[in-house]
Amino acid sequence: MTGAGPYLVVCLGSRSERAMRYVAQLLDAGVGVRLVLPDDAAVTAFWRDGTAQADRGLDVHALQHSDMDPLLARLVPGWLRRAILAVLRPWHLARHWRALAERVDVASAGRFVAADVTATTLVRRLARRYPHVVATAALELPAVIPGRAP
Amino acid sequence: MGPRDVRAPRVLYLAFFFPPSRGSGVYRARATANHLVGRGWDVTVATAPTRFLHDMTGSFDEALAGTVDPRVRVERPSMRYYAWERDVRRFSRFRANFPVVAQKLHRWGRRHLLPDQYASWGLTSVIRGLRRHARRRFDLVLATGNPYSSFAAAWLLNRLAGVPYVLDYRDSWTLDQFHDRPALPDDHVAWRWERRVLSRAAAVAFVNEGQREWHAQRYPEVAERMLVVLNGWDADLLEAVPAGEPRTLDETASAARPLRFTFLGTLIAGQPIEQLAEAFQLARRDPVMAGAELHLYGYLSYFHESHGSALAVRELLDEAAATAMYYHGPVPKPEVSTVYRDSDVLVFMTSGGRYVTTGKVFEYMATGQPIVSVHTTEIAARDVLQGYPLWFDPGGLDVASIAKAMAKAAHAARDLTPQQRLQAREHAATFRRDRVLDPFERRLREIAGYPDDRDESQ
Repeated sequence: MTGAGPYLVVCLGSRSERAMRYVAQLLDAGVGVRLVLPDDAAVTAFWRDGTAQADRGLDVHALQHSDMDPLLARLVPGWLRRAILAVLRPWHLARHWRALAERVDVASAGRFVAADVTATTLVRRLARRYPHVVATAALELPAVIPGRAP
Repeated sequence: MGPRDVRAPRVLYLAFFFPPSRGSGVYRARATANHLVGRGWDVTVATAPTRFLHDMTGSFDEALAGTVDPRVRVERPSMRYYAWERDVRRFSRFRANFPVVAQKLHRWGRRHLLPDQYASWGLTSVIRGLRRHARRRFDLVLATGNPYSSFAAAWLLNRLAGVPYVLDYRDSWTLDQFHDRPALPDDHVAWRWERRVLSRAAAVAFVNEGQREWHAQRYPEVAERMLVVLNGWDADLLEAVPAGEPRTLDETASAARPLRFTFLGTLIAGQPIEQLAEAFQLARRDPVMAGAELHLYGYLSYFHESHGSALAVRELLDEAAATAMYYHGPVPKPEVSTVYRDSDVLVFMTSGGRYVTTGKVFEYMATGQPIVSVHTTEIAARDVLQGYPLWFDPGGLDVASIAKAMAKAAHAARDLTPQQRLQAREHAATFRRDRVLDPFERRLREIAGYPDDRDESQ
């Protein structure tokens, strides 16, 4: 199923050029995007970067106010921090979704896209809750672009 | 009388790409299995799971599966789809909950264990092979690559069960065939694997002399076990083309009817499509080419997930779109012969290098029609085209030269006599698949301990 609604693109890892380019391509193609980034700092960096200009088809949301990383950085050594992040970060970020869920219209999304590996856990949870929406890790443009002849 | 005298030699053929796959080298695998079973072997093929073909690559042709001898037993060991699965709902629970760890494990395996994304299939093939071997002994394992996990699986089966194995390189694992240089850095784990699998192989086959020579220089201790098994054309797949009675050109290339140039094969980015289109436009100025048409048939790229690659080819075709140049898409196998029959001149366009032969060139020659080359001069396919009387070679990718070769081929098509066509087919007959595979089959028999006592002249 390929819905005509906006794409919910989740990108929770370190900044991915590929994912940002994908968002820009979707907007160019006239597809609305709800972009979920890990925290406020990532949202600020996204707007500063200018990959996508403020656009009526684009909503950007932060999953949490600040990353868990600074706290970990104070408490544990680097190698252990990296290991903990590798194991727990996707799961930890997915837990923050509940706070954001009220602000984002998920049910009308045309597709859930895990734009990086860290986003997998959250997208999988959304996929289970909204079984009618396609959930994918592929950064694909829609086969038929809204408002354009195929 | 020992047991080997009373039963057929038994081979496990590790061929990931096998019908209904239409992936890399599938015709060679199909022909090899059919040939062996036709020569009295008991053949078991281990190949890709159906789900891989249908859901992951979309690269299959059910009609092709019908051309496999029903005596060939086909096994489909399972595999992991980590590298291909994009549907998040189908991710394993582990991958969904610990995606970063899953990714790191996957990468570690490829870097340190076996650098091949089909490795899981290789392992399950070994397990399946051992089970079958325990029930009834295999005399030989024949592995074709890519994927090169099949080589590793053959090696492991040899270590665990002592079954001799033969490797068939359809492509090269460590050689960049298009740029004539090693494909991998010196410290890459694939080099260790290649040395390991070659060291215990009873024989190693290559598709052309260039590849054999490169590997023989790289691994001199194995050189004497290396041989060339050319590709060939499959008589059963071209049966609709009249073999004995060449059609008269009165019917096909009469002065009243415009000539029809045809390319049939997979179109991929990197092929000289632009040069082909420009040359065709130039050639059409020759009176003999008046009204001539160029028809392109085939898939755009090998796999449906190669969306970007297919789009790139499509763009090239659009850019090159010229008057009287038409793209028709893929041709069902039963209709291939019709396409050839309706053609006057075949266009052999490829992006190969000195290590690339392609299977298509043999099929082209089997038609007995004029062939125009559109490729660089450094290509192994030239070796098999040498001697084909209706080959028109521009000697490279210069547009004007290609146009001249096209015009010459057009004249030849107009004036072609049945005798010329017969001569062309006689040259092609030396590359009929059964003739090419016969010596290889005899070698396999020797290795399996069933030397052939038939008269070689038969």
